Amino acid sequence: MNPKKQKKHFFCLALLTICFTVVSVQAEVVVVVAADSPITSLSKGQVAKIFLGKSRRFPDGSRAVPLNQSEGSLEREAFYQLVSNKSPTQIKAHWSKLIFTGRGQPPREAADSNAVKRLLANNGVNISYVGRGAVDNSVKVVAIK
Amino acid sequence: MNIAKPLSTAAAAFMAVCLASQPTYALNSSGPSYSFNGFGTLGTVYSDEDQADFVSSWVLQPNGAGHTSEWHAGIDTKLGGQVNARFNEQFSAVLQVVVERQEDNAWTPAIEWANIQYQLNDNFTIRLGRTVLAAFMVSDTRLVGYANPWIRGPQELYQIVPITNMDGIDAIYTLDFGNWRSTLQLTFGQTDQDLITDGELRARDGFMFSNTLEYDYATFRMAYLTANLHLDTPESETLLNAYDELGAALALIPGQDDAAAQASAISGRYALSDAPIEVYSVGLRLEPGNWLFMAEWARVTETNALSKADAWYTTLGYRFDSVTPYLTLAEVNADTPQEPGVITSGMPPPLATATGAMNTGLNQFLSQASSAQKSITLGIRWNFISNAALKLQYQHIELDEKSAGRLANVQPAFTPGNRVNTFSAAIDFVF
Repeated sequence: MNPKKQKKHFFCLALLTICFTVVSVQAEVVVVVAADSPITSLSKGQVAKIFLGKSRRFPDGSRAVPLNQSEGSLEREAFYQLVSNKSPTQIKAHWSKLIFTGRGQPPREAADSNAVKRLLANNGVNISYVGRGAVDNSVKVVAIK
Repeated sequence: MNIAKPLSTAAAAFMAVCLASQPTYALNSSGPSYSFNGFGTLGTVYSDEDQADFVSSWVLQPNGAGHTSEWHAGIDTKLGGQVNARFNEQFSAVLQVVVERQEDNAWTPAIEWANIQYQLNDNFTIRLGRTVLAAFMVSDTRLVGYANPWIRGPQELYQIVPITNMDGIDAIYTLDFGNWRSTLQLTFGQTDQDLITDGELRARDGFMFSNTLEYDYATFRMAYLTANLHLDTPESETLLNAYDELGAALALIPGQDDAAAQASAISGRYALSDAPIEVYSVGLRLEPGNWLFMAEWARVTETNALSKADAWYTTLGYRFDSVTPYLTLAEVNADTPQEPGVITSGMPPPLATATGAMNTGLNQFLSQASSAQKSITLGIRWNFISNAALKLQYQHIELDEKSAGRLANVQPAFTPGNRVNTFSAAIDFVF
């Protein structure tokens, strides 16, 4: 194998590794609520409604306040892909519509998974998402039906 | 209904006072909270028709690309800012100010929306003040280019209702049943707008009804709008007054009774004063996966000088990551009026000549009030950064043989039935 070809192979391998890493990060986002929240499971559609400003309540009628991770974070991208099958641009366009028709404001943002966990612990009505690796006993993972 | 304008002014003043007295940016849910959002477009348009201008609003833009200048940046360019104030769970307010080229060619900021919103419960909202007039599917975001697939809504359909807001009250009722969502919106209001060439538009007793059904990736909408329309320009007033005077003069000439009656009837028939207008529309939007499909159809009823028109468009797009190419077909088909005017036979020759000229002027006026054209648009949207999109659009327009279509500032040497090619580039952003 000549060096040029070797370089090319290495490049492909690196690219593949990156792809798999991204895929595995995407696969590991989980929806979380406060540890003492009564919410145990939700459907993708129910979560999407709460995060897209279409519903202000959990199915049991209690108040639901969504919390986003920062724009451009892998968790955020993976989360919206998971629950709504929408790209970050589509989500942005969706909120532009709601904002500029006076029908709502996008969810507040937390800096990262740790900030999400801190905020969830203080507020039982919040719902958010973190990487599976960041889950600890301060939050409860919501089963996605 | 005359309280509506003071109401929107009051809403704006109320928000200004609130903002002045509460400069802090409150994030806690108990106190009032404010947020600011903005949007804008930087755009330019080229047109190869040198005897008329391509514009994006026939009531607000006195000139544009083509005759005035080959390239024109004042067609899509705008900047908007919006302050949202939330006082508590029920009360909130919105003030949106937009800077775009006005009918006098000045870039004067205008209050697009100023309303106070009261949310009775999760399903029912009432707004008071200046709110959007959502005649069509993307009317509510027609100024926010970033939220739309194209640079501007297809003109064939969207220019049927060129006004974007009303002063009054609107109620929105949302109902979820399973995975379906139904949104019912009722608006009552009125509006006053200054038009190009010192014209004026007043809509009174406006009523709008719309129902939007959403299911998964599908949205279906139907709407009905009615208002009493008063629209005049100095030219139309002069012309119709001349027929009145002609009628009075002919009544004095023996044997011209029929012509006198014809002349007197014309201003009554074509004057747009307190004329009830009706607009019906249906729209469908599908976004399965990376595909985008949109289609809308609308009909405006014949209203004095404005002829009956049907319009439709259909858009197909496919999203490749950050790039979305799209194709739009659109058509507006107004009935072209044939108005004989006042029959000149038996008149003294000088009067016959003058009357003939008036008849020609009347038909010109009527054909301007009826647009017929079809077009094909090829475009591409590229989201080059997260809050901005670059759009390029080529539009080929076929004008009806008797109409200048959606073109404005039509010159005497203009020949109807032309083919017009336009190219538009725009950067849409939100912040």
